[in-house]
Amino acid sequence: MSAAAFCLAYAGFSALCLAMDRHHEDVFDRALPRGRRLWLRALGWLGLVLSLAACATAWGWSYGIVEWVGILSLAGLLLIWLLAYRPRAALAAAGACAAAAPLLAWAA
Amino acid sequence: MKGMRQPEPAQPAHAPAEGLRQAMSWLHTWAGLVFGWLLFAMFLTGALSFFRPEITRWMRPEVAVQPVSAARSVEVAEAYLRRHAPDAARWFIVASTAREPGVRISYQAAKPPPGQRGFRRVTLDPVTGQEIHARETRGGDFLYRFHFQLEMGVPWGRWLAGIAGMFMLVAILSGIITHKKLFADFFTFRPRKGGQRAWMDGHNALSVLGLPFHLMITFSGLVLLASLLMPAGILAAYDNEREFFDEAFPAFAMKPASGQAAPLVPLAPLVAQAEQAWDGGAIQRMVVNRPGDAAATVSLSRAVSDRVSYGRQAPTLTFDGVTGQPLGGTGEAGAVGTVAGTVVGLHLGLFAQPLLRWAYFLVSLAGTAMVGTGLALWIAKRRQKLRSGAPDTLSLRLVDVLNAGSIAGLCVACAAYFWANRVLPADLPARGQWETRIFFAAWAASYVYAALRGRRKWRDLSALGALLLLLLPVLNALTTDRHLGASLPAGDWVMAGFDLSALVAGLLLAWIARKSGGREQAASRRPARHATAGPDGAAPPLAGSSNAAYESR
Repeated sequence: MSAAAFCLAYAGFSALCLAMDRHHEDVFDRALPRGRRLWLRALGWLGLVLSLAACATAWGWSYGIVEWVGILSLAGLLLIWLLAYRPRAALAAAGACAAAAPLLAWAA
Repeated sequence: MKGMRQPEPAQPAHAPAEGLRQAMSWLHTWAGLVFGWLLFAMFLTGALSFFRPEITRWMRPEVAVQPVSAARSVEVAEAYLRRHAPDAARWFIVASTAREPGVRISYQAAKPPPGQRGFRRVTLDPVTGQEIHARETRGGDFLYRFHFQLEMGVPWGRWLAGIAGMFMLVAILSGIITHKKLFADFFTFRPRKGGQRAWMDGHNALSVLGLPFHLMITFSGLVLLASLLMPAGILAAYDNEREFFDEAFPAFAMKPASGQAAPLVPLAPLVAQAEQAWDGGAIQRMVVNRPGDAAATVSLSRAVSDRVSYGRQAPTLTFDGVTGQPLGGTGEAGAVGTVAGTVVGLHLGLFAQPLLRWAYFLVSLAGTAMVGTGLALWIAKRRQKLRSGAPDTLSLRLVDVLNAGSIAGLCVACAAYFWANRVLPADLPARGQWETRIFFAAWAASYVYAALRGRRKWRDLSALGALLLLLLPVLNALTTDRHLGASLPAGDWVMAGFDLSALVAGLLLAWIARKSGGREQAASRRPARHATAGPDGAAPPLAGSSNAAYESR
């Protein structure tokens, strides 16, 4: 369950990151259409909220929030680090995380 | 501060906000610099303290014992204490746990030899009940104590740590206010831009992403030291602090002996009673006051790791030491106690199970890096403002030396501490002290080296730390039989985890050494370039602005 929470946080942050002009251009080399921005934002927040839900399921609300905050910090730092040196890998990891999260949640 | 160059158009409506931001930037810069060196050490040793028992176990490799139940721990301890310390004033027993499997007991001798406090600590093998003889080491306790006492006498070290903590809180809050584009720059890190821009991005990312943790750990750290930093509240209501602590922690209050002898009740059954009262909650410690006296009492405390809100004070139960009748105890805390306990518990992280403990550790390392990048940023900003070709000013050189000694030097010192643990002869008198002496000697030598070696100091010190850490598993294999080849197949994750972490830390330092080698070469090449714009396209440094503390971003 914690792996699912981490994957959701990572994928959520990635979507939020791509919803910003600067990072979208860095990764895709073209401007970000408005419609896609809204989609990415919504997906990003959804990922973060689902990550919180996964933490709460695994540890209960009081401990889950503590875990979630820690997971957010680590997922965000990992994303930033990957983006700087391997932007394509960061994107691929986000896709893999988004795909893996339901499986991990289901397996837990 | 006024009249600085501003990259963005100054709007009159925003003038007051800009003023606050500049003032906060000044505060952030100097509060961060003055206490940054100390805070880096507190952050790093604090991060390592989350693995305090595991570090101690790695440093006492001859101790390989399996955990047992609390009842069995108390049985073992009782047998030993009845034989060796029947007339002690009090006994302390800490039960065997998965993280610390040895049964730790300590007692205060009734009549200590003159000049000694008569406090003896023993670790027992929970299975055989025999005293464990291992190499003398302070283990993880040294790092843990250093984190808040800085190896100074009470209360000076704690005061200094408390003041540093206050500056940390000031630095965090002023940093938030100073940060112009917290959300716009949320994911921004541009290491290729180099210099000030790269350090600024890194510093911001580490600070913002870890912000909830940094705020929590700094505030709760101050709460832990609150009675020392702000004793007025206690002194207003009590005659002295002793009375306050006796009332707040009744299980540990010293009670007078009656003078009449009476046999002590068997202790192990009391553990079962307490466990029942707490619905199977784990028992962590037991204090026996005046064993063998008619006024004897036995207090049991629940494990603080059971709940985050226990902080340092889990519920206790007290029994009569002769009849075994329950005398009451402190139950679950009220709302205020729960909040205070939670704040303290969050800092100590004792409640955290392995996964969360690793998260704690990694985010504290991010905090350590936040302080480190802040210190490096101070240099990078000022170096960028120098006239191109000009050598570093004296103040820049001084700060850079202190930075290198405090950051890379501390990594070297920690590695040297672990090396000393394996290299020093096991029967050396005052061996534990020699280990810490080597720690401080290595640290001091790093400062000296940094001062003498000028340009290469970062690369050399980081490389030395990397080398020491990468070779640590090898040294462990040469000096013990619990090396990676044995610990990994056996699933001995304490030993294997330490060795593997040392390897990862070594690789990280090697990466830093490589990067700083390049950076220092670039810095030495700089005089060759003539008055070009800064790497991020900023205006060429203005002459005469060297005394400006604030630089607009």
